[in-house]
Amino acid sequence: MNRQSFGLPQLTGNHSREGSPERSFSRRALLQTLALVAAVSIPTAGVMGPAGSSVAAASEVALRMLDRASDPKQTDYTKWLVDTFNERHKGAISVTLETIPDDDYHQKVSLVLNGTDAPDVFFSWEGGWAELMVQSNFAAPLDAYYEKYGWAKTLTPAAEKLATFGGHKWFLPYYMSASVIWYNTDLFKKYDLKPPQTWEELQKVAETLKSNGVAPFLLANQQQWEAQFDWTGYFVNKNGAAAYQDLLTRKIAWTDPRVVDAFAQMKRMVDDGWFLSGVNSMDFDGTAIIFWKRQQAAMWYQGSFIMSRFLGDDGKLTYPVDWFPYPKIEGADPSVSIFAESTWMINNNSQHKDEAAEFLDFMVSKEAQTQMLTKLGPFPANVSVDESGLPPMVQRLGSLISNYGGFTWMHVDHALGPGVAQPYLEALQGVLAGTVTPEQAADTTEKAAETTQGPVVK
Amino acid sequence: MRDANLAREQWRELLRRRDVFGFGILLPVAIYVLFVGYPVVYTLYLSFCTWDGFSKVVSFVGLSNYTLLFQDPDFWTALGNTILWTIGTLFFSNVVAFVLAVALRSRLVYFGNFLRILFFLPITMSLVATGLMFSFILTPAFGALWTIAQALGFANGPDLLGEPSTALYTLIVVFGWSYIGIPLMLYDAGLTQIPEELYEAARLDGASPLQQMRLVTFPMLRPIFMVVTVLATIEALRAFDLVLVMTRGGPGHASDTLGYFMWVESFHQRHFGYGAAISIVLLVLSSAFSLAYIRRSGRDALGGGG
Repeated sequence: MNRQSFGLPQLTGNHSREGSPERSFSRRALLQTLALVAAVSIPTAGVMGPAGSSVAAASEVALRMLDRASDPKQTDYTKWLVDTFNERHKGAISVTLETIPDDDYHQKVSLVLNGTDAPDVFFSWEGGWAELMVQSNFAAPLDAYYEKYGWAKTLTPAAEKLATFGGHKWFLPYYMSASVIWYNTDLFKKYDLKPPQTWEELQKVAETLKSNGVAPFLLANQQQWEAQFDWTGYFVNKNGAAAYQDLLTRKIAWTDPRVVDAFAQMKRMVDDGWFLSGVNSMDFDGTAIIFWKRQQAAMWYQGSFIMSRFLGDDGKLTYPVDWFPYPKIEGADPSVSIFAESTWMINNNSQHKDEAAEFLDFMVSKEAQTQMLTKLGPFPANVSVDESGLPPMVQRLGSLISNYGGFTWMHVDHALGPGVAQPYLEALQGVLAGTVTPEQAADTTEKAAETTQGPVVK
Repeated sequence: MRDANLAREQWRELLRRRDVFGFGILLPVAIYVLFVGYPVVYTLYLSFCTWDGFSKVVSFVGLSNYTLLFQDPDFWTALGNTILWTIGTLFFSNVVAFVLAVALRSRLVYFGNFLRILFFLPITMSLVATGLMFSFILTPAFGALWTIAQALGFANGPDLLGEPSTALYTLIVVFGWSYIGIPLMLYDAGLTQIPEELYEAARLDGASPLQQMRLVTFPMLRPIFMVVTVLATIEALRAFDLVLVMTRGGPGHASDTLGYFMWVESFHQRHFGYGAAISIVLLVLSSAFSLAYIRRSGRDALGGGG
């Protein structure tokens, strides 16, 4: 092939051209190119480095904070946190905020934490994810800071319990949630229904609603995590929180008849028309609320984080809604899942753990948590935050979260790592669709648990 | 040997002259190796290891990821779905797009240019936006499809994305709708390049319209068929966005594709070695099609034909 056919110069060209003006031009071009590359890359490197570090004073401790960006309101709130803290610690501590979009946080956080310029403070989920952070040596124990700042007294009892495992406290919960059954008060009034306290009463309510053409429950399971609320709600309230804890800690297997029964119950609820049709194609973030607002379903077992959908910007209720705890089934004591929706960790490799703890203390202060309540909605982890401006039913739930002294539990995808949770969620969706039997779902999850957590320990 | 010596001499000459242009060529090559070659090689290496993405320890496990992969029923489901997706995409690309292109070129269709633009528009949309739009259209109870079904007298519309038997096919149709603009334009451009004299000669020889299609149009469009087939196959093998937005591989694993399965294993389950093994299988499949295409097009360029 003729090299010139590509428009390239002949490399075996005339040697006498060395030092010719044309060659000088090439050198000049090279130098110009290098200068251009340098001019572009130097400021770019500045951008890639820790933002704000160039402006930080020499004596000032520069902290980096990594948050997940779930919605603009939340990002605004975190910016307020950082700006307010920086203003009050001018010359001493300067925090720089970095964010990763919520959908990408799971995937990207490992790259960031493994990097040479890892953040000092970072967002984490509780439960299995938090354990993964600890096992990977990313999380610093916070026992000394809990002691120093008195966080155990400031925060709801459930927060401290959730943060404690393996003999240490590992994170600082700042945003709490509880799973309860939300119900449309207008529909309940219309059909003369009362919030049920037992499973039998719930069945009667469901029959009444069905006979009037209203689906008893809404379940939007397109993203796969939603149906676990109904599954765990049924399992825990039928078999007790202790049995659920045994399941999570491998004292009983996922093939246990009680587990299979919970899968089968989900299928029975689908077959008996307890859920509005389209459970596996309904999107929790997109279309679910439309069905709710159209009063096509009367109840929704979900975390209190969905409350922002029921409240207007002024914090007032915009829809006729109230809640009741999951009803008692047979002889088991009813229990409410209280969990930390969002928590903070301090990077174990941080050189500025004390300053990071000071920042965390500000983040769970009454002032910051009150601001969070205003900007993001309920519920702050700090029990001293005044919630009297909230609608009564919200206050009631806030009070439950703040004062709940009993055992709390997390849903499967929080309690366990993704190695077990993902196969479980997929299998549960398959059960709802009828492509997976309850026994197969139990078997699939058991295999994943055995691989990830090891064999059952009696 | 002479060529090798010549090349060596040219290389020395390049180094001696420090020709800026020569070094200029090295830069894109280096960038290519850095951003394409290295990740591919590293993925191959990772497919022989286990790694959770957090730990600094990457453990070498030999072929066990591949052994597990070929024993994993979810992998075979995803592979089967990917093959169905590919067949569906090829149908849309080679049959529907071709028929549309011929129809738009015929004198039977009015507003041909307007319709071409209409068919091409979906490819300008991001697949995520397309997925969200169709999710709304197909939503039971208030989606457009359900509303139409009720207007036609049906009590309920179908739950196409929620039913395991229809979810995958629904995604394939949406993907076909979204992708059809490219093959349509290629066929349309190819049809304009066929000399009218060939059809006239065929007609003089008594060829029917179908015979003209078989004996003139098909042979003349063969290179375009090749391009469309390879592009559509590679595009189908990469199927991910629509699955993520519309079904997340569900219900169960009913609409899992290899691309989505790889993403879940790598980034949700944190089985990066296993995910890398799935990537390598995808790479092998894509490369096989690409190589077949390159060999075939090379033969055609040399006049080897069929």
